[in-house]
Parts: sequence; C-alpha cells; structure tokens
Amino acid sequence: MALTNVEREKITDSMLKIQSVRASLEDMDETKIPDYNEIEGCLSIVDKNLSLALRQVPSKNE
Amino acid sequence: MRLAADPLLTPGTRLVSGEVLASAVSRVAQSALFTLPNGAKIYGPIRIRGEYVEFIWEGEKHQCHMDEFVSGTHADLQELSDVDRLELPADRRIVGKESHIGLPIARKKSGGLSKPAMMADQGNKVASGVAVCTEQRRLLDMFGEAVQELLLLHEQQFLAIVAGDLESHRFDLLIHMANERKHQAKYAYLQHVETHCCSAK
Repeated sequence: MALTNVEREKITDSMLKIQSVRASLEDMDETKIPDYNEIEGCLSIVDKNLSLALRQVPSKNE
Repeated sequence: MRLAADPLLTPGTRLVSGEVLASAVSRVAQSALFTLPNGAKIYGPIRIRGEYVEFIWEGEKHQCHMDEFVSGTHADLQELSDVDRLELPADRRIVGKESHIGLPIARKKSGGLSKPAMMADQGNKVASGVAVCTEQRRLLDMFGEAVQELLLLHEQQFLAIVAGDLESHRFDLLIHMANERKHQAKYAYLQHVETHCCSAK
C-alpha cells in the first residue's frame, strides 16, 4: 500500500527522532539505565524498520 | 550626521542610561531577554553585530548603531530628528516613532506570512490566476507561525548563551514543545493539501 505525503512525513520525523534518541544515549553509562541493551536494540529495530518503510513503500503520487 | 562610537566603550560592556527605544514585535508573550547595566530590559529578538544592533520593529528588520538603540548614551534621537533631519538620507527623514529606528534591512513587511497570504493582498490570486485556497493559506500561516516561534526560542537561547547565562539549557524543553507544535502544524497543512487536493505550489 502506498504512503501518503503526511504518512511519509510522519515516518521521516519519527525516524529522525529515534536517531536523535539513540545518539543522545550513546555515551551513557549503561548501568544507570535499566535494560539499556534492550532499549538500544529496540530503538535500533525501530530505526531500521522506519527507514525500510520509507525505502520500500512508494508514495501515493508516484 | 554619523554618530561616532565611543572608543572607550566596547559592545556588551558599555554602561548605558536612558530607555530602550526598540523592542521586538512578538506574537507570543515573553520575558526580558537580558538586562542592561542601567537596569533597562531588552526584549528579543535582537542581535548585536560589533557596534550595531539588529532588531525587529513593527514587522521590519532594522539595523542601527548601538548608541542609537539606547538613548542617553550619545544621541538623543528625537533631537536628531528635529535638528539634523535634513542631513539624513531621504528614507530616514521621518518624524515620529520611525525616526529612531535606523535603516531598514528588509524594506517590505512580511510579518511571517506565507507567500499565498501576502498575495491575498493583491486580489487573492496567484500568478497563474487560480484563487488560493483560504484554508490552505490559513494552515500554511499557522505552520509559518510555528516555525517563527521556534526561531524566536532559538534566538533567545543563543542570546542567553552569549550573555553567559549558565541556565541557557532551560530553553530546550520550550524548543522541544515548539518543535512538536511545528510538526502538528505541518501535518495539518499537508493533510489538508492531500485531502482537499489543492496544490501546495
């Protein structure tokens, strides 16, 4: 199913936010955040899937 | 008459007296950005470039010498406009509130309006002759206002940093909130363009 412009924009913004969160947490002391590795893994999957959606799903007007 | 800068004083450290002649036009309530040594409060957005101050006055961007920005340092601008008017360039020979605001950098008032909104003043028609959708224009203006609000906060944060404010990171939450509002305004605009099929161009 094709992405509308709004959906594409929302996914792009969300992906950028996730990347920003990942970058912010990068130098953190892992021991200070419970389940840090799970959080990082989850963010990584979200990042990957959002960028996949942008690459694979065509725009509505394409 | 060209006002000479006092060689003993440098921007940012000089002592000034008198009232601040210009304050920015803002669509949002804001507190004073910083206070001059004499206690006068300055409201943003302003930018100090060397000996000159850039500021917004009634929707137009202006630049003037720091001595002109704060009265009582060197120049009494009312006096300047009364006595030396004939020596000023033609576009500065204005008596009244605009007589002390320096040379405008941007001549046209935009007021943060979108191009369609500005074109509305010219008969509500775009160059192609097609009427602009009023809702699209409203949403684009709201988007523009959200961006403007964000810019204002960034500018305030920058000025706080320049002023050595140790709490300058306090703007980050406000910037985040303004950014969220910007996103919502953008989505509302795009959603309308998409469902209403009115061109974004």
